[in-house]
Amino acid sequence: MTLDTRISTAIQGAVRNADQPPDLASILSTWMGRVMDGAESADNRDALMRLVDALYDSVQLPPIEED
Amino acid sequence: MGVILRIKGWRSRGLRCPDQDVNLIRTGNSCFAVSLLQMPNGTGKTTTLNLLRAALSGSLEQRATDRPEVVRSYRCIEPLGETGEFVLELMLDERLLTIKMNFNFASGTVAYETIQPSGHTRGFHPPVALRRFLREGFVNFFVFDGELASNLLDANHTNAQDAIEDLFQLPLFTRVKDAVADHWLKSVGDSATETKGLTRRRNRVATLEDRLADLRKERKQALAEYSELNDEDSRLHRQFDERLRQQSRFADRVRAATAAASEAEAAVTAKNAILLDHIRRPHALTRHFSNSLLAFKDNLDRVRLPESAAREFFEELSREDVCVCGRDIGATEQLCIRERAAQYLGSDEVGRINAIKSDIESYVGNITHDAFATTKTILDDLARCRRDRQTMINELELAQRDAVGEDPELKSVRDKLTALSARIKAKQAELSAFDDNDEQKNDAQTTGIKVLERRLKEASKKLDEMRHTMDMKRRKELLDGILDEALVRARLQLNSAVVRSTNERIAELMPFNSIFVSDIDRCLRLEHRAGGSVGETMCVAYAFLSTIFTMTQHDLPFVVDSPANPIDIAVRREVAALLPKLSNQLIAFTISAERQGFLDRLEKAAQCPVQYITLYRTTHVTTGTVPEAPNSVVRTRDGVMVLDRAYFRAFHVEGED
Repeated sequence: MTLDTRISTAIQGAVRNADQPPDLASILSTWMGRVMDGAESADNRDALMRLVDALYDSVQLPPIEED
Repeated sequence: MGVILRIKGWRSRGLRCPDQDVNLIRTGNSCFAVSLLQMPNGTGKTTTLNLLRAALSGSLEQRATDRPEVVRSYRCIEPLGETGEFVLELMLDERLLTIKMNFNFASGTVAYETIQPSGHTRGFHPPVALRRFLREGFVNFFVFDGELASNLLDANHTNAQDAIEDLFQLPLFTRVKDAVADHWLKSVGDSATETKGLTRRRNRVATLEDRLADLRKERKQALAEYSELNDEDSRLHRQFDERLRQQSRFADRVRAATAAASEAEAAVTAKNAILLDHIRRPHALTRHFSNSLLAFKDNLDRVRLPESAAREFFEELSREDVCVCGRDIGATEQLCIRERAAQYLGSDEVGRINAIKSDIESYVGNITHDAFATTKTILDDLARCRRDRQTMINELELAQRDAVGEDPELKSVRDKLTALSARIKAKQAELSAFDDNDEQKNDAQTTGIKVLERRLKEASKKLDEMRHTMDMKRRKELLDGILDEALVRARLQLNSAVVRSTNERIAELMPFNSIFVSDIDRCLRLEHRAGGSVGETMCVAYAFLSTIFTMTQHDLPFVVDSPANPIDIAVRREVAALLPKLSNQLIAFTISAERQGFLDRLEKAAQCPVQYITLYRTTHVTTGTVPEAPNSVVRTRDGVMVLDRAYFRAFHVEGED
């Protein structure tokens, strides 16, 4: 079973709207799909933190502005 | 396909419902797709449904601790028992899973056991894949009754939205968002709030870098000039010496004075070395030192350091049961002895002190008056050598001055050397300013290169920390926004799809009722009306549950209490046609009054054999003939269970309509 297409579409839309790379949506959708399948537990703290690491790394920031 | 869960059967003993052994297996591990349990009112139908909910959710494990009366409400009254047992057998993806509840009515507690192929554990521990379904809030969606149907349409309840969010795991977005916040706090630590003043910090670093570059350039220039001055100094000295040698009247005198001065310098160096060596034995310098050392040794002797009563002795003593004084050593005494042992010297420290005493005895104890006289002799010799050296230097300077006085060219060189010496000193002072270590001066005032390097390092570190903090903050805010928006989008799309599909099913069930769901806002909201009849409410609930179970591809059993009772006979037929489609395992608890208009249509819609179970108390007065076949009748202490279609259809309890 994969992630419901309505949820993956919602994630893709939110990522696209934030001008972020599609990889970010894939990372999140893959993890959620694995949890939905029971292949991964949402209580697995290590796996969750690995996911978050990957999300932070995938974010592409525009140049910083002066304050 | 997601999770496939089946209820294989259950067994109850000593509880408020009749003892029962219900087996829903058709063949092998395959369960009947439709099982109908006919239980007259008062047979414990509600109790059985509640036991199923409790076994599937583990709810009594938590509740029993603070509400023992809830547990005691399951107690068999006739006869009054002290214990009871309910065992639920499930199949999860072809693997057996058993949940056992052991009731203790005296203490008002329930002890759960979970039995899987991997082992037997105390407590309610369903497999990870099942946990989101097997909890109190969700079990009500597949062990269903009229109350939940009403709640789905009640604005005070969030059941409909909860069901969608639970099934589609939408709370995972919040879980990830929380983890994103944790990651941010861990990665930036205490600097999480320091995100202002980036420009100020960046300007400070730039200013320090510029200032350091200027100072390094100035120092490089000064060093080059200093080197040139020294070269010039060497050249002039060589010129001076050459010219001096050409002055035959002074050359020999200067040469002799130079040699004598060098010899005197060597003598001073030698005497200094002798004095330094002598100073390394302070007790031989003066009697004050030797007397003080002997007094120190006497004091150590008076202390009488014990040979064995060192710290280790007390540490060993603390491990004994009885003290050397004969008193018992308890936990308090042990702690006290260990703490106070630290006040005593360790054996290594005692050894070191004994070595000091021994050295004082051997080196100072035998010292004679001659040793102190030697000190005076060395100092006198050194003073004499210094005087001799000064005399030779004076003689050399006098010879040079005489020569300069008689030779203008030599004088010219000497004057240049004097002027150059002043310039060299000034340049040295200029260079030493670059080594200034005064931290009090501000960035513009100080010329200390190391001071500015330290400040630049610190300012750069703070700037990097702030850049990292700001970078992480921007990433966190971006991820938060994406997760929030994705959740809103997912919720809207799912709700919209659920509403559309639910309405299609409602139209099939009640084509003439004009009742439709308009949207899902916590509960199911109906189009142009606040609510429906009991039958309409049940139908809307069935349509809704049918939709979400189908959409999520999870194959859960559907247990329903009196599925057709409150519904008009015309609608019953439609409900009967829908119910087998709700789940691949339908377990319906019915009473005889709701058979009409329901059974035939249900059998037809099921498209496979329907299991018929009639369960009643032995005290009930019933109609119908109990079949002869022994396999069709199971008798327990207080109940009769008949597995027969004809009996099911003919069964009636007096007084039940």
